[in-house]
Amino acid sequence: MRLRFQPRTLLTLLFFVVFAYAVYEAWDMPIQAKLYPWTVGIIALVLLSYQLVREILPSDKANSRETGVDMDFTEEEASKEGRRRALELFGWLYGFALLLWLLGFYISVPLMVLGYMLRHKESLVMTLSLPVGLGLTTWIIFGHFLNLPFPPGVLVEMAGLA
Amino acid sequence: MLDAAIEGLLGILQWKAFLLMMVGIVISSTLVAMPGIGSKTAIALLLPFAFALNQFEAICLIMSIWAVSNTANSITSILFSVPGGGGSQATIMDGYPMAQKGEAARALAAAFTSSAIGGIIGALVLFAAIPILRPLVLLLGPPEFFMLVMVGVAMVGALSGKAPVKGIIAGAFGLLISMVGVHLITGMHRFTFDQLFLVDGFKLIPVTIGLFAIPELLYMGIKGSGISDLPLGDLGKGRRQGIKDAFTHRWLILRSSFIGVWIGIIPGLGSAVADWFAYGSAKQTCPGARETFGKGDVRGVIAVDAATNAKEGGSLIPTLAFGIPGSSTLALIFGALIIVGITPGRDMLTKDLHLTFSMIWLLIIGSVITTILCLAFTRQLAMATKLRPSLMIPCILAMAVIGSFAASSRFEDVLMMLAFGTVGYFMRAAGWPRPPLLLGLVLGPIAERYMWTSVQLYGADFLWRPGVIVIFMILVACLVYPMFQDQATKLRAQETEA
Repeated sequence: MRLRFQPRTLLTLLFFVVFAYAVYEAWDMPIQAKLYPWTVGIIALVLLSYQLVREILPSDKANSRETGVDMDFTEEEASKEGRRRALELFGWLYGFALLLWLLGFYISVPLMVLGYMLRHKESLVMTLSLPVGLGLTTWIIFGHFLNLPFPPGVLVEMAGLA
Repeated sequence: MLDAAIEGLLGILQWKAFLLMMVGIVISSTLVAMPGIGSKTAIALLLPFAFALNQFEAICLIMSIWAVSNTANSITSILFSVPGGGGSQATIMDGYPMAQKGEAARALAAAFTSSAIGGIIGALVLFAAIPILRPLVLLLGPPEFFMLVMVGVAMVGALSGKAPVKGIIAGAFGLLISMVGVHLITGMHRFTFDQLFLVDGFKLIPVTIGLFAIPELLYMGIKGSGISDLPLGDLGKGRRQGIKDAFTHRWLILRSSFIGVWIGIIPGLGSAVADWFAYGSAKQTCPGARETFGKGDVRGVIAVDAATNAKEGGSLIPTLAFGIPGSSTLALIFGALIIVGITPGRDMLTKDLHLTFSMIWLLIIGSVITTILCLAFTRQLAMATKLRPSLMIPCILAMAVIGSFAASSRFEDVLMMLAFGTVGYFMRAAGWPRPPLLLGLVLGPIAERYMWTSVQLYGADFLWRPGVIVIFMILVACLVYPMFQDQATKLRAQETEA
């Protein structure tokens, strides 16, 4: 019998490892603290074992795609172009987080919006007005009215501008 | 009870609360109506603001988005044959052919009016259910409530599409991450890996934004095009006729509304079931419907929209009385209520009864206001579907990041949001439902508290209490029954399409 290993099985395996670790980690805890992780963890491990077997063993029923109801993964997203766009968007997400850490919120928010507008060749009016609008919203509403203590950013702090 | 009803009404009529309700309605009628941006995304993005609001204001902002989203969802279904949400799929069957025949305004007006009446009927059923539910809830103790929490997680998990096992595991994963942080009974740090920011546990807001807003944002970016390229056409004519149609077919609205309420009461069965059920029922019972349905019969639109909005009142019954969210969106609202100090369950029918009434009033007032707004601004609302993703993505991303930071003013929460965004995206890609995870995170601490109290009071024997056994049997019945219902709905939908 030939086993089947699909990329989506990786996520199932990851969940399995997390639950197994939680059950193991709870071992030395007092009974009040470990009863609940053990109850949840052991039930989940049994279900995950069943799920893993279904995904790895070849069967027509298991081959049919199972999806959650909240939103299906489209063919468009699974295509090569879809994957390229997804990678680019992940780059924007994590690049934005890096920018926030380096330059702080007040600079990074308008900068990210400006970069995105330029990347997608938006009109000059939108390219200028949206970053300014969002930058002002961040500064006035969140910074001044709601008093959110935005960190200034590592580079801004190093430059003594904070 | 009358005092609570009046207090609830006055609470949402305060100027700030009312203004926030209007904000929620506008957001729901514009953003939420767009395919790909569901009420879950909008609620996730607005959760951070709930911190700064009192209980009535938070209810008005968060619940109005959910309560009226079905009404606005019909716009894109009728105009572009693109369902705005799960509950507006069947609206396409007759709504879009009507639009093709030049009767878009009539279809929209009929949909909005029947949706408002359906919403009011759903709210009234909820109102009528309170005197019956109150004594029932007071009979239950910690073991029964522990079982009810488990029922909530298992049912939302098991009924999350075609992957019940994955749904239950996702719910268990939510319960697991809710254990991170200081253990309330022993005071020890559990699963914190010596990280200071984990001592407080995983915060609901960054996790919610990450799980729901980020994957939707990625989807929008990957799709890379506007929602619709079709021309909007003339929407000015036929509105009066549509309103008249709704009142002419008032018995159909009543019948469909009760179908919607019934489906709403069963946790996990969403609008996507209610609309096809109501459509199938109307096709079977309306004279001549077998020949005219699917070709632009206004009764097809009326039945669907009344049912999907009435469903919301029904779905609040298990959510408020037993703490079992009736749908995945209600699981998010559940989290929002907890943020402002409202715990769904027994308290909602005893000391917080006025808040339950404020929700009922909100369903009624919100439905009427939304219908009036949708009728007045149909063209402008439809224009929102023309917004390019390149304009929306950076705005949503900026809001997601600021919202995550605002929760507890920690940069680690932004990273947590991105991490859960990545997990949410891959969960979606691998067909894992995300709502049960969130529900597990919300209900985890409550479940642990009830479980430990039950063990201390009765030992392992708490599992053999009659109430616990009855709830367990209800769980089994509820898991099996919707599977049959689901099959029946699919068959009806297939028959209808054929």
